[in-house]
Amino acid sequence: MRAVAAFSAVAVCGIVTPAWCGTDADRWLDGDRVLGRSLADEAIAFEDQDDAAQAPSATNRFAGEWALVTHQMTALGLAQYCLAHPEDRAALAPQVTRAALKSFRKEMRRFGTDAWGGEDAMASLGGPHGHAYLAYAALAIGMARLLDPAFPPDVARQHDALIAAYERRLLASPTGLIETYPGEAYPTDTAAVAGAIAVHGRATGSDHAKVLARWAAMVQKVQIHAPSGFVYQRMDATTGKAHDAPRGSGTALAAYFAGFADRSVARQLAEGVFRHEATFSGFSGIREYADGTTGQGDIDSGPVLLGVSVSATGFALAPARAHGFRGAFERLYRTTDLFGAPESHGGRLRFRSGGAFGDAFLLAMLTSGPELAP
Amino acid sequence: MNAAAAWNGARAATRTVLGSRCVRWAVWLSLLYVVMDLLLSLEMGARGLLSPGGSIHPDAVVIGLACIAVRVVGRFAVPALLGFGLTCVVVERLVGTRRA
Repeated sequence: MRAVAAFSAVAVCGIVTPAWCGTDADRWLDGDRVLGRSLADEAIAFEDQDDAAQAPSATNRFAGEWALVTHQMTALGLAQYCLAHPEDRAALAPQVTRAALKSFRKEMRRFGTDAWGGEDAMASLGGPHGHAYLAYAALAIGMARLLDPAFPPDVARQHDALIAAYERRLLASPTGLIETYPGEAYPTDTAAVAGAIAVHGRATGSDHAKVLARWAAMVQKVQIHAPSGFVYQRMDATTGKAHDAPRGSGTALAAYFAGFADRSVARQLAEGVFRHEATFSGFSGIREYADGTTGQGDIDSGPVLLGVSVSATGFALAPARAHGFRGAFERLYRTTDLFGAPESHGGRLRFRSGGAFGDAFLLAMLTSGPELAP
Repeated sequence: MNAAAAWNGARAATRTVLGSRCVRWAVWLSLLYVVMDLLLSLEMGARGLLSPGGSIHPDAVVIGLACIAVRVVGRFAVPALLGFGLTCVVVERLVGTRRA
């Protein structure tokens, strides 16, 4: 009798638990308007609170990066939602602009200015230093310009100048990489640069085909670790020498950013990511390190538990949805639901573990698809 | 079948099911799950374990991790315990009926 009961327990657990955690997966995949709007409204509510709080700018590098990325991901998520649901565009486009403008504020990039010894990215556009971290904001600004006819022209001119600098630096780079900080180039950040350039082209009609084609070729030639399909996490922008292992968190986020610029590169990176999917009873996560490499969790990967990275798992939702990896999306979403603890309150949806940062990121990841390059 | 008979039948069935230790564990775990889920909502608000600036909220981390641990265990263990307990009850009944 116990054997029958044990079999029954395993079977019930194998069916009920994934179903319990995955109730919203299909709705996200199908672009459910109500669900998307409920998370969008939570992100907007955070921006309202942030306006009221007027938090001081972060001097710590990681704190600054996270603050910038929270506003950037809010802008991108809202923009993707608008592209999927044009009927809400008039109402939400100003919100996209608000979040994007925050990510572009001078104080928001203070961590990068400090890293470059006081050199501000916007005050050194003619110089050789990459300042690739600002591409996150540039991408958000580009999406806002694409959607909002009332986007402020003075910021648009600054954005034009930044994109021109990125284009020049990327064309001059022998590796298709530009530096984020002195001596540090990240393929993920350069994918954000490429995405920002591409979206600028869509918003303004400028032709960036040459630089984007060169970047795509260099991703294949220099930045991808062929045996694993991952991109190297950190490299030398001049020599292309790897300064870190090929990793899941960087590759999954690069796959998302690459989607703005080049579908085929993004899909190739996505396929690389899903080669490292670890599955258990209908749930899955993305391993941070490929076979043959090991390492600890860090600010990029978040905690690494049993080899699975929290960040890579969350980031991988975007390429899974955008490129139609339906099964992988469902498995990853179940994990996100289990640990993210989503909750509806007052018509809004929030992921309780992640707070505002998690909500902004998941809004962008769970609505990814409409932003893909034509 | 009248309403009184249906009520008595339902009570008897509930007594039988709750007689299973696994089902009782599942019920207690479900209650703990609900309480911890409520606590998670109250503690987190819109804060989360980390601030948008990446700094850790220590109180939220302690309570949040406990709540998430109960959530993870509960979502796997409650269906498994119910499956195990109810199967035992059903099989016992079937075997008992056949012997009688």
